[in-house]
Parts: sequence; structure tokens; C-alpha cells
Amino acid sequence: MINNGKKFRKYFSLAFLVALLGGLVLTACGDNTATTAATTTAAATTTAASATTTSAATTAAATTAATTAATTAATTTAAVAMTIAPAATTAPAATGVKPVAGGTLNVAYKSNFDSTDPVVGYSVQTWNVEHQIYTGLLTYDKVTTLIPELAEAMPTVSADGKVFTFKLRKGLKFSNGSPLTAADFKYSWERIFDPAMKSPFPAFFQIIQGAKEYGDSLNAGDGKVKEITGLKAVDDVTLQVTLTDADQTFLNIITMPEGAAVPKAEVEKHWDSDHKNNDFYKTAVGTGPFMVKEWAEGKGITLVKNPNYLHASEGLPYLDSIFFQVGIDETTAILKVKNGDIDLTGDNIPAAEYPNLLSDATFSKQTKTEGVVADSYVFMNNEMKPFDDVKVRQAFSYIFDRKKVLRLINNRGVETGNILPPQMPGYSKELASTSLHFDKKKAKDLLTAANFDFGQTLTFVSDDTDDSKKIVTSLIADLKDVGIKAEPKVEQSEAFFKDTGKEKNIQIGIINWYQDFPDPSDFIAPILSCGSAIEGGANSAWYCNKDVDALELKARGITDPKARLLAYQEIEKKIMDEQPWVPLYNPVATLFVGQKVQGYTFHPVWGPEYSQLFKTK
Amino acid sequence: MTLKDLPDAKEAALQESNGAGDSKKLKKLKSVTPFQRFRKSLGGNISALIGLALILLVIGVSLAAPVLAPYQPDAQFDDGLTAAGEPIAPNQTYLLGTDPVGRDLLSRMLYGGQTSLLIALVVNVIAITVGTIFGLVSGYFGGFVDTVLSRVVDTMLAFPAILFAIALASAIKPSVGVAILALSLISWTSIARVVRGQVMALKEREFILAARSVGVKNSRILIKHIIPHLFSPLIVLLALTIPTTILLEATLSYLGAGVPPNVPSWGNIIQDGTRYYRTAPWIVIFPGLAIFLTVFGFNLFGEGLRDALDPRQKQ
Amino acid sequence: MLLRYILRRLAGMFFVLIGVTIITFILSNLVSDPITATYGNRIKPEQREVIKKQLGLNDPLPVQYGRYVFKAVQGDLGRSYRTNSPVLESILNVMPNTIALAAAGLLAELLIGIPAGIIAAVWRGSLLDRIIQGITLAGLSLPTFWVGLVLLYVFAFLLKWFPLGGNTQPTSIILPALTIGLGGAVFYARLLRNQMLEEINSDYTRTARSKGLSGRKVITRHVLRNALLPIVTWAGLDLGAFLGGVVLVEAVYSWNGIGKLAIAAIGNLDIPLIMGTVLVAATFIVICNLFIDLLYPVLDPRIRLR
Repeated sequence: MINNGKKFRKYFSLAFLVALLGGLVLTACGDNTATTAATTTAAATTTAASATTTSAATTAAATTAATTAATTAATTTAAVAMTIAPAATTAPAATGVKPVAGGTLNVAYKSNFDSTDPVVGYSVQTWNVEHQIYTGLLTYDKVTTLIPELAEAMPTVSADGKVFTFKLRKGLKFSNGSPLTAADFKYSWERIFDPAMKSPFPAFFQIIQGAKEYGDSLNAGDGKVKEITGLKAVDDVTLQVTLTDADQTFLNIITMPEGAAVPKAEVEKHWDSDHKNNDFYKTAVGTGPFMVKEWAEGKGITLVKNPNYLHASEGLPYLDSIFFQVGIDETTAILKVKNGDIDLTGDNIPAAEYPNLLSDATFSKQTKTEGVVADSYVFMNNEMKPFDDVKVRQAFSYIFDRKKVLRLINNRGVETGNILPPQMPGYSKELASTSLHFDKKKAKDLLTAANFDFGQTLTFVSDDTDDSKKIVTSLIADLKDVGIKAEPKVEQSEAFFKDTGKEKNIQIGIINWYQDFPDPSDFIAPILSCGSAIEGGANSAWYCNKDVDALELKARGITDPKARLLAYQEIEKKIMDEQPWVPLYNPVATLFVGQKVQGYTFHPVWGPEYSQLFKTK
Repeated sequence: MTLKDLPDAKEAALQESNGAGDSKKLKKLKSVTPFQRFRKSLGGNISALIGLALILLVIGVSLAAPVLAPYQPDAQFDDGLTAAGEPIAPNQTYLLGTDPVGRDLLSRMLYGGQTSLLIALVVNVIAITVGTIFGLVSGYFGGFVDTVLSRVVDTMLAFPAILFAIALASAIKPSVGVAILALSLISWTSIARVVRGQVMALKEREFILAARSVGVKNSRILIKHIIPHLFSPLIVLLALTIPTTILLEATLSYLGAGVPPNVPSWGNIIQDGTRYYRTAPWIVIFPGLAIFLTVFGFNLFGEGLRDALDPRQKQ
Repeated sequence: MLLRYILRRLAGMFFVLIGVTIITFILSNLVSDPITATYGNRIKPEQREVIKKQLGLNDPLPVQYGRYVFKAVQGDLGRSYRTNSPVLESILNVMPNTIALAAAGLLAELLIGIPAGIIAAVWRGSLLDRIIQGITLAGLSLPTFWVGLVLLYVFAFLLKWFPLGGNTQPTSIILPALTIGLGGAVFYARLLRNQMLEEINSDYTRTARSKGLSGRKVITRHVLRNALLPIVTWAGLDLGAFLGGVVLVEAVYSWNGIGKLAIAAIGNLDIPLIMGTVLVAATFIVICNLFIDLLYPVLDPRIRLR
């Protein structure tokens, strides 16, 4: 009987296997529906994005109040052209639908939020939400031009460019009803230097006179310096800021969330017993279109309409509330948008879903592709062999097949050979025409001429995201075609950033840089200056040219916007002549928007403009 | 994953459950030589033979990967992806389809088999060596030594295993070596426990007590008398822990804490394809099937082996 | 007697937990820069130093560890480096989800496994027994995450019977629990079958039957009771392990439990959160171990606590 049992078991197991195998093979072979439709739409997206200016220039130029040079007008229109949605006008109802007040918007994110205290939060996800809660003296219009927000007009600037005077509007209130005065701004900026806040932003504000001394004194705990002397609340509505140098980027810096106003009385209530941690972010009170109703760790953040919002009289925001949910995987988020549980994805559409969505008539309209002001580039360590030779670096600029890379990431990007992204003021089309080249044979010739040692094996480093791994594999294959041996090395992000910050650790690798604010200096000073080529800095190419540094410092103070941008174009060209990087592409954000959402617009700095959104029933 | 998914833990439990009440059955030992009985038992056990066939098939195919694989496992092909960048379903060029980066799935799976099997083998050799030493010392000498060593084992067992492996992979740069380290650290404890139990039982047997009373040195007793009796339970354990290690490696690679991404392993391949499980399910299905066949083969064979070798198993 | 045993075990537990936290602490600090983990390369080195000082990361490791233990026994598990919210609060927030999943998973395992094992044992050699044997062996050969993915694909995506992961709806718990349950059930079924057969063939059963007790009475009163002992042991160990977060299932289904929290913490090198989750998980495991050991003599009078 035992033998029979075993015999049967054997037959059963075999049958089970066959059934399983059969069933699975059937499902496996069933599924890959033709995506030729997807390819044409995807290709169309990128050509629309890259063939920017000709048609868009005429339509969009009329709507944007650009005061800058023709080149920048082209770039601002380029920004608008990146969106599939029709060119944004000031009236949100671009599609002709009348705004409906009320309703709750549901947004899905995968990761938890960082602290949404404006002096702490420093990720794209956190900033998108912070912008709904806090605003500052200035803001951006539809693109990247500064306009006054809580200030009643742009500041007056002294002749030497160092003193900025802001006049606040009258009758400003926080969401809890308490009045907003210039002193609140002084407090809001001074708390950046409080070591207990552990803010990553002090370096940005050290341009204010007396700020560095204030910060050092707080860090030492000696109580010697009580305030930032360059920051004066002259009266309730007047704020006077004195800088150490004439620096136009200052206006951009204070427009970032960390420059927003927070109420001193409220913040001071939330210190813990030993004054080491402050929970203000949980009950955040600000001046934005929304205010915090609930901040539930692991669940999400719920915002409700702020009755004291500056533009409340215009009926903004339309929504009653927004629920930013966390813990929702990107793939699940797509499916939830489809069935209406979620209205907008916070994270990018995952690569696996993107072609399918594009190939569907209905869903492709809900798929938004937005230009992100960022670079994805190959950096070559100028301090390490073989990349200390500029000829080798220049040769490398011909090796990499950008189109292949983009295909690997579902065309969620636009090829580039420039440092500045297209939406950045100062973007140079002229440079783009010469910097974007791909010619493997030429590369090989140049390398031979430079006596490149083809026997060596390079180590190509990246972080551990899916996209990075794919891209590195592709780039290494390109190198192989030219006869260069390379090994990939994947590092977990923390280790990766540490290594890029060390002088001789990484020969060559790929990395991204996202803007902090829409000013060209943000793409030069932090990543391509001598000042940033230090241990722990972000200059992964360890590029240092003193002449370029001097030019950049001068460019910062130029008050005439036109001249300033031209100066930066000069700088960019000079840097690219030395080819510290091979820029690959400018990433594109892809969001999936629910059918009920109307009035959707995407701002290159703030992301989705939630205050302009509304939902149909 | 639970405690009992730890390699060897559940096999240990199943073994112990079969071995409980052994004192009554000692009498059956000396009738036929173990090897004769083994051959007879195994030969008649068809499912064990099928298991063996599966194992040999998988090992053979994996070893022959350089010959059998149509392409290099890390070769990316332009036509390996659709124009939109999606993997391609099984077709004539790519028999099992391609993965999200445009590499041939069949080739990756063949080489992946090499990695997965190699890791399983090395991990188990290490785990059995370390675990046996621990268990021997702990079980034989007893007393304070036993208490201390048992505490160490308890501490390792109190660790949430997967978290430990992930933390290790985050702390040290991932490589095949680190994966082997992590897996070994998780695996050895159950073996230590089984060996300890066996040794403690053996220690009380008449012939050991006799030898000790006569004054035979401990080392001699251990080597000549105790260790040989561990062979058959350990071999059975090995046949059943290798599949568990394969599963564990796949699990860790799936979570991103096992084999580094450029080295193919079955778990890795599934990890690459997880996001695509609805649009390109073949990436998840075929490696999963490979894991299943291998592990199933080992389980079948291992069961047969246990039936054949273990004199107490006569249900 | 009992008190002494418990005290001894508690002392042992304490040492084990210390061992676990030390190992975790060392591992987490091997790559010693959590600031970079949070801010990447966007923060200037001087500011990094300020933040490091605030978090006490410049002190020698033993001091940091000592500080941690001192605060932990008072219930303060520190604050997350990333979000600055208290670790204990974050863990407590997701604890209910993990407890629910642990209970549901355990229930599924036992509800499927025990009857299967009993049937296989009682009707051994029959068709049903062989089917169960075959399925369980096959089941032991499948990776859990694979089973999870397949279940998700078939039942949530194709058939739409259940929500696609997450833990927002009441029915979301079924598929994850089932994934755990199927994996565990195969083990329990085989274990129970083996144990019961062992008991059925033993002397006392034969004696009972020869005395005239009906088959069913023998099974339920004696065989089952003895055979269940290892089942209870393993169930207890399982519960302990589950309460620490079923990492794999939580990953596949995006279930918001401790396991998911722990993985995110490890990825962010958020040391306080890593320490907290591992400590909580290990504590559960150790407590359940103790509980099982205390339960043993109740279930089997032959066993005495040493």
C-alpha cells in the first residue's frame, strides 16, 4: 500500500506540474499586446517636447509676461510646450469648464513625508505639499518669473545691489487668524540657523549680512550674537535686507519654501521639554491656499481650505480639502486612479505602466508629461586618470547613445548636451546645436589620438534605482563598442553620495541634479565650481576652473537680467569646452490624472498647482 | 517569512517529529547493512528517483549554461525591447522573452541557475560546518559551555531574519560574497540545534557511556563514535536545506538584499520583472517555475533519502 | 519554583535583546553617515557637521549606544532622522496593521493546515492523503513572494475580487493572510500528519483501542492532544515572528506594517527607526518563546521546566 501511495504521489505531482506549466505558459504568451500605437505616441511626446519653439513661441509668448531676452522668452515658452495640456493662461478653466468649488482631492505617494516644516523639508514630494501651506514675499508666475505675493510689489534695490526693501501688503493674516508682520519674516529666516532645527538651508542664507555670525554663535551656544543684523523689520510692513554681496539669486532663494513666513507665537508653542525638537510641522500654520487639518504618520497629510488665503477673494482654492496619502505603491496608484479612488499620482508613472497608458485612447489624455528642471548626466572625475585629460573627456562626449538610454526609460526624458535644462532661464540653443553629438568612430579616433590606454578597465558607478541600473548597462555596452572595458558598480544612495563627495573615489558615473530654484547659478555654483569641489560637496566631476569661478561671482551681481543671462551662457560655454560631463537627458515627470480633475496645470518649480484645481462631480 | 522558513528549521522539526520515541526502535538497527537497505529503499522509491532526475537535470543544464545559452546573460539587444521600451514576449529569437533591459531571459535563467545553485551549495557547506561544530561542542560538553553557546544561538534566532539580511546588505556593499555571508548567518543556527539534540541523545547511549567510563579521550569519542552517527541525519538535512536556501536566496534577491543586480540569479530576475508582472508576466513566471522545479526535485529526493537512510521511518 | 524559572528566563531574554540591539547598532553605524542618506549631496559640509552634532553622532559609538539603551528602557526610542517624529509613535501607528495581519495569517495557516493534517493522518494511504501530500510538497517548493504575486495577479487584478494591495479596505487583508496561510499550512499539515501517525502507532493508543475505546475518542482525546504539542510550539514561534512584521508579504501587497516601516528605515539609514523596529520585532519573538515554554507543561505533564 505504501508503494501504491508513492506511485500515486508521483503521478499526481507530475500532473500538477504539467497543469501548472501549461496554465502559466498560456498566460505568459497571452499578454504582450502590440505597442506600436504606444511607440508613435511616445515618440510624438518627445518630438513635441524637443521641437519646442516654432509654433509655441507665438501663442505662449503673448501670455507670459517675460521681461527677459529673446532667448529666455524661447525657454519660457519651451516650458509651456512640455505640457500636453493646452498652454496655460491665467484663467485655470483652459478647457472651458467653469470651476466648481468644493470636493476633496486624493493624491497618492509611496514614501512617507519628511517633516513639512519649511526650514527642514527638502525633497520634491515635501516641497509640493509645503507650497500649499506656506507662501513668502514673492512667488513665481506660470513659469519662472518672480512676482510679488505677500509683498505688495517687487522690492526696491539699492544702487550697490546689496540692500533690498520689501513692503508687505496690508491686513495679511495667517491661517489661524493672527496678523502677519515683517517681524514674522525676520523670525522665520532666523530660525533656519537654529541648530536644534537641523535645517539644511543655512548656507543659502549666509548671503545676508550677519547671518554667518549669528549661526556660528548659535552653534557654539555662547549667546554672543542675538540676531541677524542685516535683517531689519523697520516697521510692521517693511522688511529691509542687507546682503554681503550684490547677489540676484537672493530673490529666488527667499521664494523657496524655506523663505516662507511662519508665525512665531505658534511655532514657539511646539518645542519639546528640552528644546531639542519642534513639532510645529504637525499643526502647520501658514499663509498658503490650504492649511493642515491632520498629519498622520504613515497615513498621510490632510489639508483644508485656508479662509485667510491671500487670493481667497478670487475664490481660490476651489477644493475644500486635499488628502495626500502615503504608502501607496506606484503601480497600485495607477490602478486606483483608474477606478477613481485616487485623483492624481504624486510619484512618476512606473516604467511598466507608461506605454500601456499611452496606447489607450482615454488614458493617454490623462497621462501628463511635464518637464522637470533637472539634468541626468555622466560625470567624469577630472582629478582621476584617465579623465584628467580634457581630450579624453571630449572623446567620451561622442560615445554615448542617448536615444537608446531614453528608450530604456520609456522616453521619459529629452536628450541634451547642455548643462542648463531648457526651462532654465539662460538656456542656450546655440550650445545645444553643437554639444549634442554621437559618433562612435570619431570617439575612437579621438581616443587613439589622445593615447588612451584601452587596456584599462573603468569602474562605472551609479546609485541603485531601477533606471540608473538600466542606463549604466546601456552605457557600458556603448563603451564596449568603442573597445573600452568597463565594470558597473551599483551603490546604495547614501554610500553613492558619500563616494561622489570624495576626491578620488569614483572615476566615472551617472547622477542627477534637480534645481533648487530657477536661476542658472543653481546649476553652476553647487556642482561645477571650485568652491564645491570639496569633501562632501556635490561636484562629482571635481571640476575646478578659477577663471570660471570669478566669472560666475561677477555674473551673480549683474542687475540687468538680459546681460546676466548672457553672462551665464558664456560661462556654460566655457565649462562645456572642458567637458567635465557628458549630459545625457533632461528628465520628465509623468503623472496620471483622474478623469474628474479639471484645471490641472504643472509648475516647473511647484509641481501640480493644487490651488487652481477643481473636481467635477 | 517566519522562523520555520529558516532553512533547516522546519526540516529539523519534521525530522524531530519523526524521530520522537526513538528508544523503542533501536532494536531494528543491525539487521541489514544501512547501505543495502538504502539502495533497496531508494531504488523502489519512484518519486525519489524523479526528484533525483530533476536535480540532475537542473544541475546539468546550469553547468552547461555557457554551451546552452543562446546569448550572453548581460547582452542588451536593440530588438530586445519594443520601441516604447517594453520587454518582448517569448518569440523565435528570444525563446523565453526578454527582461526590462532587453536581455534574453533564457540565457539569464541558465546562468542564473549557476548562481543560485552555487550559492545554495556554498551556504549550506558553511552552515553545516559551523552548525555542526557548535552543536557538537554544545551538546557534548553541556553545562556552562552549552548555556553560553545556546544563548548565542538564541540571539541569532531572535533576530528577524530578513531584516537582518537586508540590514547587512545595506551596511556592506552587496556582492555574491555578502549574500553568501548573510544566508550562512541565518542558516547555521537550526543545524546547530539539530546537531546538539542528536549529540545529546547519542551521548547517553550505552556504548558511549562505556567508552567514557573506560577513559577514552573525548576527542576520540567525538571523532570515532559521534560524528559518524551524524552523517546520515546531516546528509538528509542537506538534501532538504539546499532547496530552502534556494528559496531564501530568491526571497532576499527579490527584496533587493541578495545577489547584486548585474549578476543573474533566479530571485534577481524576478525582482527585475516584478513591476512588469501584469504586462510582462513571463519574467516572473519562468524563473519562478525554475525555482519550483529545482526545489521540488530536492524535496522529493530528500524525502526518499530520509525514508531510505533513517531506520526509524517506517510509516 | 516557577518564579525562579521565569526570572531566569527573563534575565536570559534581556541578554538576548541586548545582543540583538548591539548587533543592529553596529550594522547600522557601519556606513556611518545618515545625514547623507537624508539629504544626499545637496547639503554643505559645514551644515552637515552642525546637524551631526545636534543628533549626537560625533560621540563615540559606545556612548551613543549607552544613551540609546538608557532612553529605551524609559520608553523613548528616539526620533526618526528623516521625519523627526518619535519612533515609538511611528511604530505604534502601524502596529494595529501588523497585529491584524499576524493574527489573520496565523489563523489561515492553522485553519487550513490542521484539518488537512488530520485528514491525511486519519485516512492515511487514501487518495485524499496522497493528494494532500502532493500538494503540500509542491507548496513547500514555491517561493512565498511568487505565490503572493500570483494571487495578486489572479484574484485582485484579473478577477477583481479583492483590492490591489494596500490595507485600506476590510477585504484587503484576505489575500495577504492567504499568502502567509498557504505557505504555513503546508508545513503544519505535514507536521501534524507525522505527529499523529507517530501517536497512532504508539503503544498507548493500541492499549486504548484494545480496551475498547472508539476510534474517534482515541483520536480526539489522546492522539490529537499529544500531536498538537509541536503545532502549538510552532504556532507560538510563528506569532512571535509575524508580530515583528511579515516583511515579504508586506512588500508584495504594500501592507502598511512594521516590516514595511523597517525596510524603508533601512533604505534611508534612519538608525533610530531601524533600531526601534528590530527591537520591537525581537521583543515579540522572545516573549512568544517564553510564553510557549511556559505553556508546555500545561499541555504535556511529562515535561517539567528545568
